[in-house]
Amino acid sequence: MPSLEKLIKYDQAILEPAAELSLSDDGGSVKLKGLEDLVFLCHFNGTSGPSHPFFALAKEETEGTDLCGAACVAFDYAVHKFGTSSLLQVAEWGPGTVICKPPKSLVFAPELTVDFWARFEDLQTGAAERSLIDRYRILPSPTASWMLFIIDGEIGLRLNTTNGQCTLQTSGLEMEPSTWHHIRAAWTENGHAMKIFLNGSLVAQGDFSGTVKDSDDPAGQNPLEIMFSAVPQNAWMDELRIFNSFKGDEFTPPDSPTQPFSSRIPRAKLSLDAGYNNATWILSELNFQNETDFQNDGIKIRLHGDNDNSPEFDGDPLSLDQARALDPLVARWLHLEFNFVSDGDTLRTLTSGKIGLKPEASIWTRREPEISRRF
Amino acid sequence: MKELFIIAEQKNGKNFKSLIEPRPVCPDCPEAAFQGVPMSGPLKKIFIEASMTLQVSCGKCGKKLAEFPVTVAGE
Repeated sequence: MPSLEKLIKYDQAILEPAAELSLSDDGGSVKLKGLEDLVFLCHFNGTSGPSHPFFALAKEETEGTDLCGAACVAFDYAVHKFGTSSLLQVAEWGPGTVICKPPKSLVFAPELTVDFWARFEDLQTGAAERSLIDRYRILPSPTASWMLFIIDGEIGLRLNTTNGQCTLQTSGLEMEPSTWHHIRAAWTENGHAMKIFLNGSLVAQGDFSGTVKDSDDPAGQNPLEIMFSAVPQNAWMDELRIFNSFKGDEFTPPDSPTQPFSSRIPRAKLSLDAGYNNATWILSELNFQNETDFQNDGIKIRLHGDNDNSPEFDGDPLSLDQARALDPLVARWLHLEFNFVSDGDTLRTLTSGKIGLKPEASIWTRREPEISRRF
Repeated sequence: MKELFIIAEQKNGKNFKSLIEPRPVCPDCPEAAFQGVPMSGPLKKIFIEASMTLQVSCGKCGKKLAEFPVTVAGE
């Protein structure tokens, strides 16, 4: 007799702690929450292979999107601020790295904060601007919506607004060559303010009017450009972060890589009801729409069955394969506990699923009450 | 097209402002020539504090194009 399928959705799931997990609108998935306003993060930790694993939080949105024009940048495994490598633009004419389709959360954002560690072999640029990071807008005419650059040892931020361009640039800044500096630029359309920070200290602030002109061309011609400069430079970049908020206060630069996700183990708990006591749950038929995070030990399960809806989970969490190898569980209620395991840098997503439920062997024939006449 | 240029002087903490309007175009190197390298500013700007002027020259050939007055922001 074929088993019935019981759907697993998470509308009624208990999230512990709720602050670290998010439930999709339709209850079809649960995922680890990232830092709220961090929309882009590049560790620039190089590894061999065709993928680009240095994109962490943005990975989901950039995956499958080509990176182009990377001929003049390379991972430098000898010089880096954190991790295994940094991004180096070698001293040749040519472009840096281009993210063809940047995350939607930074397109048209009314506020942005961009920061990174940077190191320059030579701070002199011959009165020319070297772009460090910019958002390029090709329509209606080629220009940058915003650009953070250095010029002869000074840091500049240019916004292309509906009221024309506005450039904020330092003068008399003391940066050292071949030294790591933390650079941050931030602006807000709401407060019409723009600021530049060096090593956490405010070094420039100004105001601007209008809104930053941006566009989202479906052809993907509005990339995020990283060290895409026509000017030769030996420049290194590490730990690039973009927040879609205005961080206008002085701060202590990060002394370790940013971990966007919690490295604790939040849990999602869910109870399925067969509708009758001693139902048989066929654990070998437990499966999920996407099992990637189960297979790489990112999500583990604990199970409990009972007839009185009193979940008690004990023992070590199991892998999905271990759970499937268990004997069928006889109970009215099947309680599932999903444990999200992250290294702090990896998004985990639990998708909807289903489990086999054995139909009742027999259904009692309904007996009509006997009615006896009384005389 | 205009450009507001703000210089944040580190020594005295003052901001200097200059409005570049109209934005000059090099007659020898029209802006179209920069479309292939849009990330390099087509104009070079040098602030001359003694004369409180901003000297603007072509970012490609270096030709001097215009000078604009500079004021202290907030004054």
